[in-house]
Amino acid sequence: MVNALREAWRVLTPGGIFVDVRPVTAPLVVEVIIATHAIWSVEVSSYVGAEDNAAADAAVRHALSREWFVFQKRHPFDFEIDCDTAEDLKVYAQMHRRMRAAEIPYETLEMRRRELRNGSTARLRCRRSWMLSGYRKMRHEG
Amino acid sequence: MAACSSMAIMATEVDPTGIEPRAILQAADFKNARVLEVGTGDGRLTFRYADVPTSVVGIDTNEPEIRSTAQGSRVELPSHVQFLCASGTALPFSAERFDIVLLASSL
Repeated sequence: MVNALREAWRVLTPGGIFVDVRPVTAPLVVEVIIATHAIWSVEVSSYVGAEDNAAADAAVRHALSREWFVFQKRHPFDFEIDCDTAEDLKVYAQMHRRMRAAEIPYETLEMRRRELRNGSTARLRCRRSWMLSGYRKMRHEG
Repeated sequence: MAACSSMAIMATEVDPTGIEPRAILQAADFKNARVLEVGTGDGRLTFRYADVPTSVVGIDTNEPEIRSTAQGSRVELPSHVQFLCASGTALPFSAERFDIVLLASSL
């Protein structure tokens, strides 16, 4: 990870911007939604990307300590994934390393989705907390 | 069912309101910028901001995926966007080539 940051520093113009955007270590929230309104939700606390995030954070701290970059801004946001069914969410999660091992209760989700649809189209929305961080390249390598 | 980016007819919509590209475009001045995106994957994010900068190079180590992205976008994307198979830890570019380097979920 430090090598990736060093390479980013190398190819950036002086004063160029490095943008790091990724999920943070926090529970997932899965909601049953009708149209865009959440009518039920469950928190999934077994998000397992903690090691990845800790390593990435350590790499960024190293880059800042070496004065490759200076911190500019931070912007938290919720990244959303809408799915027709729990099976669709499962397929998506299995395709993505940082979600694969999350212990999402797919059977419960699908049961609640079917129970609550009440003649409407009920879908699932998975929300993950993400953080965007911006850094400016400093002139020297440090 | 494959994941896609915000087509209502699909079973899965990733970032349906486009909050990620909006946040990214607010992080720096993308207008007239030369952008390198590391870990571009299927181009899901790239396609949503590529009309703003002067140029975009998306790289990924997953060769089949990046090849598919490049071939799939050839007709639809303008010539200032290109995709390459490369690693973020050994970038095949000269120094000071880009104004913005974006690591989207790839650090």
